[in-house]
This record gives sequence, C-alpha cells and structure tokens, in this order.
Amino acid sequence: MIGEEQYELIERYHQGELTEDERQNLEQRIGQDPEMQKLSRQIKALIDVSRVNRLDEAMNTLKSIEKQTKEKTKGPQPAKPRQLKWLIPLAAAIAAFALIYNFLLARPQLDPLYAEHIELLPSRSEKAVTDDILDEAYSLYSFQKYRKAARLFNQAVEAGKSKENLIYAASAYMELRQFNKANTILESLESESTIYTEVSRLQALAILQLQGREAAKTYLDRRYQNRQIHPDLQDLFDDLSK
Amino acid sequence: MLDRIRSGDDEIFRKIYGEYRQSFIGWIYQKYGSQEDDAIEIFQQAIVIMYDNVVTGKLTELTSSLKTYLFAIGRNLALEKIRKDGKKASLPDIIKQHIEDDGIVKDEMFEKAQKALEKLGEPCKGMIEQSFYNRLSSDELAILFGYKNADTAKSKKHKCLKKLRDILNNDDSTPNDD
Repeated sequence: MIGEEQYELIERYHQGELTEDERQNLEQRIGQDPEMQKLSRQIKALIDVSRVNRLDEAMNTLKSIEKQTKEKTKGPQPAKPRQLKWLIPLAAAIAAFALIYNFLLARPQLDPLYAEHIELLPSRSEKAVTDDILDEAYSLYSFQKYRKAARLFNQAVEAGKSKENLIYAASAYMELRQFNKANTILESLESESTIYTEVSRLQALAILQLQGREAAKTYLDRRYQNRQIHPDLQDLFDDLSK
Repeated sequence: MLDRIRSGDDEIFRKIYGEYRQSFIGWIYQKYGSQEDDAIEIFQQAIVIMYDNVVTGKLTELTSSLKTYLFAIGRNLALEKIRKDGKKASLPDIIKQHIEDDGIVKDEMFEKAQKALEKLGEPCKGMIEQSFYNRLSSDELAILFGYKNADTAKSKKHKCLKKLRDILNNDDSTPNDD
C-alpha cells in the first residue's frame, strides 16, 4: 500500500531534493517494487505536465497584459463621424504611401550571418575628446542618433581630424542599414593599419548585405591574402565559407 | 525579486512587462530590424524562458541586472528567429525546444498525465501544478488556496494526488475505445 510518505519521497526524488543515501535507497526500492516504479513514472510525468501547463499559462498572462497595454495606449474610441466619404481618398493616399514606403524605403532584410556577427563600435563617451565637433559626434553616436553623428564625423575629418574617426561614421551607417554609404567610407579606410580588423569586419558585413556571402568571403580572402586571418574574424570567415 | 518570479505571481509579470517592454521592443527593432509584432512575441518568450530558468533553478542569482539577463535571452531568441527563415519560427516551437532540451518527452505517459490533470479539475489541478512546478511549500499553498493552515493544504494536496493516481490507474485498465 502506497502512502503519503512514498508520494512525498518520490516527488522529492524527481525534484532532486534527496540526499545521496536517500536517493540510492529509493532507487533500489523502485527497482524491486513494480508499484513504486509505476508511481515514480506517473509523478515524473505529472511534474513535466505541470511545467508545460504553467508555461502556457504564463504566456497567456503576458498576452493578456499586452492586450491591456495596447488598449490603454489607444484610449477611448472617438464617436463615429456622420460623414466619412472624404476619408476614402485620404485612406487610399495613405495606403499608397505606405506601399511605396515599404517597397522603396523600408529597412532591408538582414542576412542571418549579419545579425550574428555585427559588432557596432562601442560608444567612446568615457574617452576625453577635446574637439567640439568630435565630442558632439561621439555623444550623438552613443545616444544612437546615427544620422547626425555620421554627418558630424564626416565634417570633423574634412576639417582635418584623423581619418580613423570615419570608422564611426561607417558604423553609424551600418546601423541605419545604409550599406552603400558605409561601404564607400570603409573603402577609403582600407589601408588604415590601426583599425584594420574593425574595417575588415564592417566592410565584410556591408558587402555581405550588398552582394551576398560569396562576395564577402572573397573580400576577406583578398584582405588577408598573405597573412593569417585575424582571430576575431575567424568565426565570420568560417560561417561565410560554409 | 527572484522569489516572486519563482512563485509565478501575476503581479511580478505585470511589473517586468511594464518596466522593460518599451526599451526591449525598441532595441530588438533597432538591432535586428524585427517588426513590432515579432519584437513583442520575442519579448514575451524571453520573459517565459527567464521565468522557467528561475523556477527550474538554472538562474539562482543575478550577476547582472534583470534587464541585462532578459535582453541576453532576447538576443538569442531574435537570432534564432532570424536563422529559421527570417521570421516564422513560432513561439510554441521555441518554447517546445527549450523544454525538450531538458529531456521532457511527450510520450504516452505524458499524454495520460495531461488528460488526468484536466479531468481532475480545480482546485486540485492548480494545486498540483503550483506544487510540482513552482515548488510552493504547504504554507504558500495554504495562503494561495485559502486553507486554514499548512497541514490542511498538505492533506488536501495528498488527496488530490491520490485521486489523480486513481484516474491514471483507471485509465490503464480501461480498454482503448479507438
């Protein structure tokens, strides 16, 4: 006859709460007693089912919170106006605009490898930069105001600042998914030795987005023709070679 | 905080949801170019996985902030989603994968236990689930289900388990109708 104690013991066994001695004793009993064996399988299945059910429940709770959040943001619906005919051409114009926008201007679909390997340059806010324009550019970059940041990096370099700063402009354009602009800047930085690896990674990824994996791999091959590829780029290179 | 997550308290889900929804969705959109609906789904999945990690003891203490932890799960989910055809690796698939990684197999016994638990009904079903999954103590069960004290809750849980086992054993001896 199986009593409360056995139930509890088996439950604690499957929850990993028994001491080594208790566990060994119980396993021996389970091995010898078919009834205990059956109970053990049943309790294990109940623990698994409880987990699946509770996760489903959590998901439903979150969906209902999301629904409430959206309803709250929407607020009360305005009263329906009597005459709506003038809305039809307006709605058609908005739909046409949305279509054109999506077709021409929407952010391009990313290659999975791009998302996996992109590492935007870190913000340099903690680094002292004594130049006004560069200060402003780095600050905008760290606040993810990429468009303005890229413009200011370009201006700073035109005004005679180190060309290496342009890699941040390229990184900003990458984030804006403007891969052509990023690529053009990176081409101008190809020979900068101090930022060779960063330029290689960003440009390989820009080429990946613009021309595909084969072209990105060829680019890295060309960059590292006579040398060992940099260890930081090895994963990317391997993924491109698959 | 982790204790409240472990107990599966709705209020804590609400708090986490409200606190991080905006920044999480904005971040997923910025970094991975996901549409809003996808980003919301990833956010919800990340919370469920974090919850499961706390309950199953994979996350016992936070070495970084809860936000960092949640975003790290979100990053993996977003990449997973992009990997699987760019968009449509659905939630059930991802959660299913998450629990299968822990060795849960939906075999015949699992199906039987699921049916038996449904048949058992409330409050037994909730009590067993909260006890087996969230590992609520008899004291916590007494408070949650309104029993006089821990002993009453413990005895009620045992009765529920016995009833459940009767259903399962009965099911074993009933010939299949199919």
